[in-house]
Amino acid sequence: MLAPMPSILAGKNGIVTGAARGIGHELATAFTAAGGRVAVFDSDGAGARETAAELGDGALALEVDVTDEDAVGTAVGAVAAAFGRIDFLVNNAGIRHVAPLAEHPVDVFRRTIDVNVVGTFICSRATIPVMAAKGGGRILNLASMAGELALRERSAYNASKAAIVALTKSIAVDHGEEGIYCNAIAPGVIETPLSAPYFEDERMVAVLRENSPLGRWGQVEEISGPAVFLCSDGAGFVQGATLAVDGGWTAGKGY
Amino acid sequence: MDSGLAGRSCLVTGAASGIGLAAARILAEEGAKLALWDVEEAALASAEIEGGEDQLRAAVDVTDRAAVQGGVEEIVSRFGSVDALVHCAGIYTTSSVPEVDAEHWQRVLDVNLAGAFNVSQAVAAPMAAQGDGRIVLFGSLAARTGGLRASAPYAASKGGVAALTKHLAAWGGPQGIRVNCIHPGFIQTPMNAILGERARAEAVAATPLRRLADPPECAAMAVVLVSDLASFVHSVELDVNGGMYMA
Repeated sequence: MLAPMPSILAGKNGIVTGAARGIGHELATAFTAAGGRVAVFDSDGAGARETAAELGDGALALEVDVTDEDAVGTAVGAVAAAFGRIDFLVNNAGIRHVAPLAEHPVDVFRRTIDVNVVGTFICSRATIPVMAAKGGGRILNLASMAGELALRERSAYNASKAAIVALTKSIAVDHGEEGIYCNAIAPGVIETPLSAPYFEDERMVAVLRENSPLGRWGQVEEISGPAVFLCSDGAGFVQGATLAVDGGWTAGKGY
Repeated sequence: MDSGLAGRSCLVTGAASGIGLAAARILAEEGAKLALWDVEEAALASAEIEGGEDQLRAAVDVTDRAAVQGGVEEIVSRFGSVDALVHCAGIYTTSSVPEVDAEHWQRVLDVNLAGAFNVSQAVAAPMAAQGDGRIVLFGSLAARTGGLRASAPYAASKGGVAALTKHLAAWGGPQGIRVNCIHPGFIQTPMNAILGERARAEAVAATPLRRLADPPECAAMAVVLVSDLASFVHSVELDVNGGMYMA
C-alpha cells in the first residue's frame, strides 16, 4: 500500500552513495524525511559528515571510495553493525567527463566505468548478503537518459549508464529469489545546485524546452518521489525496471 | 513529501475488481475524490472502498462514447474537475490464432484499445482546460512479449495502448497532461483467473521473485504515477512484473 509519504520508509535503514552533494544529497534528505535512517557514503569524507549532520535522525557518515572493494566491505559492515539491518541501497555515486570521443582520455574512460559501473557492482555485492540475511531489501541504481540516448561528448558516461540498466536487471535476476529487489531511475535533465549555471545559457534553455514534451527540465526534488517509492514496500512487484524521470525526453524523440 | 492527491478528483475505470479496485482503495486512503466506473454494476455497487473525500459510482461501458462523455460531464459537475485517470477497464482472452473470429477480435480491440482512447479523450478536455492532468493507462506484459497465453487481439490491443500512451503524452505534455503506461505481469486478479495451475506454476518459475503478485503491488505504482511524486515522469512504459520480462 501507499503508506503516507512522511512515514513510507519508517523503520527502514540504508545507504546512499555519493550523498555529499547534488542528487545524492537530495535523495539522502528525502529518504530521511520519509522516515528512513541513512548512511551517507562519499569519497569526500568532510562532505559526507556535513550531510549526515544536516540529516540528523541517527544518520551515519562514511568516507568511502566505491571502487575500493575492501573499503566498501568495511563500511557496509559498519552500517550493518550500527543499524542492525540494511533495507535499501541507493547507488548514486558517479562521475562524468565531457570531451569529444577522439579526445576522451582512456584513463578517464576507465575511471568512469570503474566508479559508475564497478562501484555499483561492488556496493551491491557487499550489501546483498546483509539484506538477504534479514529477508531481503531494495537496491536502486541511478541510470540516466544517457543510457538510452547518447549525449554528445559523453562517451564514457553514456556507456556507463547503459551498463547500469543491464546491471540492474542482472541483480534482479540473480538475487530476486532472496527477496532482493533492484530497480533503476533514469533522470533526464535535472537542475541541481551544481548544474544550475547550465540553465543560464539561453541557447541551452531553448534546446531543453524544445526537446522535452513537458516543456521544461526537472528539479532535483522530482527525482526523490519515485526514488523513495521504489525503495519502499509499496513498490511491490516492480523488479528489474528502469523508470525514466525525464519529462518524456527519451520517449518523445521523433517528428 | 506529499502525494498531493487529497481532495483531487480521480477517475478509476474497472474499479470493481483487480488492480482498479486496489487503486481505488489506495486513492481513497490518500483522500481523493473518487469517480469509480465499471460495467459490472452489481460488483461496483458492492465493492468495499472506504474513505476518500467523496465518491461517485457509475456503470459506464468504456466502448460507449456517449456514455463516457456523459460520465465525465457528471464527474466535472459533481467534483468540479477531473484531475487524474487510472484506466484499468479491460478484458482478457486466451484463444489461439485459429480460434479468433472477427467478433472476438473486434470486442477485445473495442474494450481495451478504443476504450482507453475514449476515456482518455473525454478526460483530456477538462484536463487541458485547467492545464493539469495525469493519466495512467494499462498495457500488459503481452505488449512486450506478444502474449504467451494471452490471445492475439489481447496482445495487439495492449501494444496499441503503449503506442497510444506515447501519442497522448506527446500531445498532452505541452498542456500539462502527464501520460504514462504500466505493463503488469502476472498479478492475481479475477481477469486472469481463467489461467490454470500449470500456467501459474510456469509464471512463478519464470519470475525472478519466484512469486505472483497481489493487485496492490501494482496499483500503488499507478497511484504514484498520477500523484505529485511523479511530476517529471512522463511518457514512460513501466514494467511491474517481478522481473519476468525486463524490457
